[in-house]
Amino acid sequence: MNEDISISQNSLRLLYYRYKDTSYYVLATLLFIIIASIGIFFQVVLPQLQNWFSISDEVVATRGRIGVINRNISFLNNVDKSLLNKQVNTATTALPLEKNFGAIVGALSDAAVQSGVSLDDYTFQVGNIASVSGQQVGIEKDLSTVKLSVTINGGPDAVGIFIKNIEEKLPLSEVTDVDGDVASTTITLQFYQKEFPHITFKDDQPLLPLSDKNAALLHKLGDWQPQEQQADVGSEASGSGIPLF
Amino acid sequence: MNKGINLFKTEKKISVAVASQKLTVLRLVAIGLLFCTSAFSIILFLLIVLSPLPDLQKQEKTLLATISGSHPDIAKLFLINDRLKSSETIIDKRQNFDKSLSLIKQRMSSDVSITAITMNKSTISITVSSSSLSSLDNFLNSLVDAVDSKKDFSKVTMTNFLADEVRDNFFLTIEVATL
Repeated sequence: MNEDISISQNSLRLLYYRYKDTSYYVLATLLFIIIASIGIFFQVVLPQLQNWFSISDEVVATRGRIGVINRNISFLNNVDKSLLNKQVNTATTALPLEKNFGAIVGALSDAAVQSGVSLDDYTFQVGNIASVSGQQVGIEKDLSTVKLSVTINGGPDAVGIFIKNIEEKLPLSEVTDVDGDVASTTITLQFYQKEFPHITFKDDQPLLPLSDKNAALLHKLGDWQPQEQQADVGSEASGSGIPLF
Repeated sequence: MNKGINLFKTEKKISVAVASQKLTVLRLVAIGLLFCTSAFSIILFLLIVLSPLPDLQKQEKTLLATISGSHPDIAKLFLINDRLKSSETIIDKRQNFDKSLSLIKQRMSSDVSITAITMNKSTISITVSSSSLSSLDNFLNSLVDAVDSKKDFSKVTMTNFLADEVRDNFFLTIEVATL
């Protein structure tokens, strides 16, 4: 075994001495160095370079995320919590999370008072009170409705006023059918609900304030909101530690 | 000594010198390449080690912990936007029956009154009565004018006309379609 090795070493040594002064030796060595350098470059330097580029990209991305999170924190610090609670209350009163018959009756009652007919003149004909959850109800997916018919003991003049009033009340409703004569009119309405949305939020997603259009809509809905509910929110807002979710 | 018995060639010295020179060049090239590769590697290593990424990641983690306390407020903002979007759709798309009724009433003279009304998403049917045929005619003409001028209404159809001679009253039933 050892002899073999020594023979091999001797052979190499002989080859070295045979070719060391020839141009082949220089050429072979130069080629070896170049190939080794290229190999090291591709195996070591290039991965390191790629690593460095990916680190640089990650640094830029992280800086961007930090900037967004900082702006989000600043935005949230400047949000008036009581105003936010009030806006949540207005928005959820307009479109409740679940069927709220109390609010529906309240809206009907207010509209009746404002249109000049008493609540006694109404006959409620509550049909299918089950909401059509998760089904498209003509306007938007995920909206469910409660349908009901109201009979107003009044002529067409009162109908117009009543429709206008009920559509400017919360929760939001839509008059789908009107059928009447001089003595009484039956109005079919549907009140809308919407389940809690599936919120997918990333902390590095920029938070935006309400757009002017949405702010105007919220203001309008606030005007339509019953006064006693607004007062309730005002008193509730003072207790800032109340978790909503 | 006889030079003839010298086994070494005289060119040997020249050959060693050339080889030595080539070896020097080779060494220089090798050292140069080694230096370049090493220097490049060291520079990259230093750049990677001295990268601000770990500090930034720590900072991000701290900020995420800070903002997590405001998640309920963020949920409220999303809830508000979601409700407003749907509310806007409802308000925009619902039928304006009161407006349609008001537009019809505007065209009625004082001696014309509504006796029956049926409104749904597709049609608005109204029965009006008056003791004066002329008033009913004016009412009908004003609606036709509105359709012709493409103002407020797109279509008016007279579906029924009835004369109650006992009460001296005329009944006109029309169907209108709003624009």
